[in-house]
Amino acid sequence: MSDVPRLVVDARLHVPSFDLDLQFTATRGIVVFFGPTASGKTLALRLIAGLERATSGFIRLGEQTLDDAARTFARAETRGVGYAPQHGALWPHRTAREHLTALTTLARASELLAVVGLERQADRTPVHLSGGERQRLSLARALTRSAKLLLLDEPFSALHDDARAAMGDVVRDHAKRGATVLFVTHDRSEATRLGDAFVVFRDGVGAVADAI
Amino acid sequence: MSAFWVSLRIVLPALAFVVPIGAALGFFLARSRSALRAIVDSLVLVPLVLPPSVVGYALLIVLGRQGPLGSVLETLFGVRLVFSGAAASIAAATVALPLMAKGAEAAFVRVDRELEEVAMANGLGPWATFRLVTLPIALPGLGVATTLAALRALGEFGATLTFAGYSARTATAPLEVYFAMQRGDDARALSLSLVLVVASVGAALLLRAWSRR
Amino acid sequence: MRRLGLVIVLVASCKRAPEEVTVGAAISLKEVMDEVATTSKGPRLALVYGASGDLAAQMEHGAPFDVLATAGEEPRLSKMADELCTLAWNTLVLVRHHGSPDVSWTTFDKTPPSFRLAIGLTPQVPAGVYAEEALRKLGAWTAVESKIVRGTNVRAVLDLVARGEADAGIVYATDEGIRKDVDVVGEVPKEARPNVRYPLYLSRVASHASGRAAQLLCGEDTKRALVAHGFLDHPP
Repeated sequence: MSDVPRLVVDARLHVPSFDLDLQFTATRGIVVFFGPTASGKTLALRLIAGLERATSGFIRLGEQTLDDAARTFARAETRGVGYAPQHGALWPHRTAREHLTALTTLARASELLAVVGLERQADRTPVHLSGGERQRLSLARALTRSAKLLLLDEPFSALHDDARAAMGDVVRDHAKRGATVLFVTHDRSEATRLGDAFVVFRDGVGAVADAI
Repeated sequence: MSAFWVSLRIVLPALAFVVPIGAALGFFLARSRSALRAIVDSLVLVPLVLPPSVVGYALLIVLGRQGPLGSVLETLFGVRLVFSGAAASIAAATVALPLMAKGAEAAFVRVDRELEEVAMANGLGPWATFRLVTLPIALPGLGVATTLAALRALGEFGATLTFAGYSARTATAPLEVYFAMQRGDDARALSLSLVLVVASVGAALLLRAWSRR
Repeated sequence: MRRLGLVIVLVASCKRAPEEVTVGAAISLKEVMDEVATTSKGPRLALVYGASGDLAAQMEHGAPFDVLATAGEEPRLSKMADELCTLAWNTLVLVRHHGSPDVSWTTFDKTPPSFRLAIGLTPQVPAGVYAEEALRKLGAWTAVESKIVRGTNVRAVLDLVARGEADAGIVYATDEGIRKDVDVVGEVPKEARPNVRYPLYLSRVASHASGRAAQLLCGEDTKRALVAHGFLDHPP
C-alpha cells in the first residue's frame, strides 16, 4: 500500500449567482460528495481539479498548495490527479484506446480497457459507443495515471446495476491500493454503499457529515 | 505563365508567415478575456476593412525608403523594399492575415472547452492538450481559414501595386492581367484570367468539402 | 393646356442644357488642361488623366471619350478617331532624388549597382518609350537596363524619384517643379532627342459640342497656355 497525500480543503468560490463554501479533510478512501442537484457538488469537484480558481482560502494536497490557478495544470502532471466530469467529455476524434494512449503506454491502456470491460470497443470513437460504455471509458481515462486523487462526477449514472456494481469495485480497489477518491452522487443508496466518509452539500455549503 | 511562378514566389512566403501567426492570433482571440483582446481584435481587422490602395499607401509611408521603418532597414541592412518580391509578399500577407486570424478564431471557438479541461485535469500539459485535443478538432476550420487567406493573397492587387510597384519581381498574376490589358495583349490577359478563375473555383469547392466535415 | 405648356418648356430646356465633352488627356497635360477647362468659354470639359496608352486602350475597348490628347501617336485609335492637330511638343529631362548620388545622361555606367533609374512602362507610357529611345541613341541602354524601375505613368515616375524609391528618373521638361526633393540634372542631349509630339484626336462618333471643344483645344488660346506651362510650339 502506497502513501496517500492528505487532502485539505478550506476554500470559497464566488461565481455569478452562486457561492460555494467548502471545508473538509480527506485521506485514503472514498469520500462521497452528496446533496441535491445544483447544491455545488460539481463546482466543488471542478475547484479541486484546478478548473476553477478559489476566491479565497486554499486547497492542499500533501505538500502542494493548489490556490494558484496559473499553475494548477502543470501541477496536475506531477500530483497524480484523475478527473471524470459529469457527462464524460470524451474526445470525438479519438478511439477508446487513443483516449488512454494519450496519457499512458499502450500496455497500460490495454490493461485499463480490460478492467472496465471495453476491450472489444477499443477501436471505436465515442459516437459509436453506448452511454454506459462512454462512462466506463471516462472512468478508465481518469485511472490512467494511477491518480492519488481521483475526482469522479456522477460516473455511474448511465450504468445498469451489474455494471454499476462492477465499476464500484474498480473504484474501491483503486482507493484501497492507495488513493483518495472524491465521488459525486445524488443517489442515496450508491452513496451509502460506496462512501467511507461524506461531505454533504446544501445551497453551496459543503461540510463533513458522519452519515447521510 | 511566368506570372504564376511570380505569384507562387510571393504568395507562399506570405502564407508561411500568415498561417502560423494568424492561427496564433486566432487562438488568442478565441481564448483571451483580457483587455488586450479588444485592441488586438481591432488592429487585426484594420487591413480587412481598409481599401487595398490605402493599405498599400500605409505600407509605403512606413516601409518606403523615407519611412520610419524603411529608412532603418536601408541603413542597417541595405534593404530597399519597393520593387522587391519581399514587398509584394508583405502586401499580400498584410491583407491575408485578418482572414486567417478571424477564421482561426472561429475554428478555435467551436472547440468545446470541456474537452480541453478534462485533458488538463487528467495531467496533459497545455501544449500537449493543444496538440492532441484542440488542434485536431479545429483543423477543418483552420483549413477553411487558410484557403480564404491564400485566395486573398493570390488575388491581391491594389496594395501590391501601390507599395511594391510593378516590376519583374512583383508582377503577380492579378497585376499582369491589368498590365497585359493595358498593353493591348488581350490574349495574355484572358488566359491569365481564366487560370485565376479556375484556381478560385477549385478552392471554393475545396472549402465546401472541408466545412462539411 | 397648362400641362402641355410645361412639357414644351421642359423639352426646350433639355435642348439648351450644356453638353459635357469627355476629354482624355496624358497626365503630363494635367495642369494646363485644368486651367483651360476653367477659363475657356466653350463647352464644358470632363477631364480624365492617365498614361496615354492606358487611355487609348480604354477608348479602344469602348470608353466614351470624345477627345483624346496623348503624349505620342496612338495608331490603334485610327479605327475610331481622327487626328485633328498637334497640341504641342515637349522634351525629356533627367531628374534626380535630392539625396541620391550624382548622375548625368552620359554617366549612367558610373552609378553604383544599387542605383535605380525610373522610366515609364512601355509601350503604354509614351515617356517610357521616348526615354528608352533616347537611352539607346546615347548607347547607354545596355549599361543601365538592369537598374531600370518602371512607373505606371510619367507622374508616377516623378513620384518614385520624389520619394527616393528611384534615385533618378526621366520625365518631361514640363514636369519640373511639381514635386519637392527632385533636382533637375539636364535636358536630353540634342543627338538623342526624341520627337515628343502631342496629337489631338477627335472621336468619329462625337457630337457637335465635341467638335467645337476640339477646335478650341487646337486654337491660339490653348497654344498660349501650353507655352506658358513650358510646352513647345515647335518640334524640339
